[in-house]
Amino acid sequence: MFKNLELLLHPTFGVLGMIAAVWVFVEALSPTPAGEVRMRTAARTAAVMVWIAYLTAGYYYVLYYGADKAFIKAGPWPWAHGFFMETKEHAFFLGLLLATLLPIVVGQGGLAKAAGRRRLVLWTSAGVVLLVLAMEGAGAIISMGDKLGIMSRVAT
Amino acid sequence: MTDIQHDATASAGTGEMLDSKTSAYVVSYAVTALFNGLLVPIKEKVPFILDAMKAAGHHWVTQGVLDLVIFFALAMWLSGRGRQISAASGVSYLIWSTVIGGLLIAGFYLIELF
Repeated sequence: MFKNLELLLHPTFGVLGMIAAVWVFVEALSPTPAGEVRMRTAARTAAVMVWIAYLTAGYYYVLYYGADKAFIKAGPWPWAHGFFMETKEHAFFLGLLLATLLPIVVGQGGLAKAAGRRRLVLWTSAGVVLLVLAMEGAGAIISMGDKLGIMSRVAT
Repeated sequence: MTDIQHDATASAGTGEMLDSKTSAYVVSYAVTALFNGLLVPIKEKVPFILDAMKAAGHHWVTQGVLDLVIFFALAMWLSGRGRQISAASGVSYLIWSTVIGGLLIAGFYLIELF
């Protein structure tokens, strides 16, 4: 039960992290003192959510993904593992580190008067958003590859 | 003169500087992103490296631990030195290391497909 639930928790926490990063991005477009307080909360939330997404995915990947991998590689979409899963599992670290960096770059404060720092916050939060979106898309393809692999096994 | 010192000098007076803690973490992120990208083709092509990473546990877990140790250890070491970089350099380091680190991974597995 928990094993299957983990597959839902991983993308759910990823999306929550992405929403929090979007929040940081929007606040950074026109920062105010009150907005910076919200931005710090959102940045910490993004980091925590992405870390939970990492831990839930890692637990499933290390212990259970081997069976899915066998189905995908034997199915009609073997590249769902060969390219998308391999890239996803390694590129995930970029998103994890960027999400960890986000509260630090936001924590400098004074963004209303510091265009350079504000730009760094914008790029860091945009990076988290784009990487999580890429992970979500890759996850959908991997899931479809797994489903097609299982269906082709059942059909034969 | 290190790159970081050079950055600080070049931007003094004109460029906006990041504080030393943020500078350290941005530089550390850039180094770790490139390390993470480079480690993928290396471990996949050098059996000794992959075996060593598997011996320490799952190779992916080992890579994650290495990334996190490098990221935090380097950031703490650089923070202690108190150096600063300009905000413009920080943005450049962040973007280019992410793009290059990501392309190293995606490019390697794309080539491996064919």
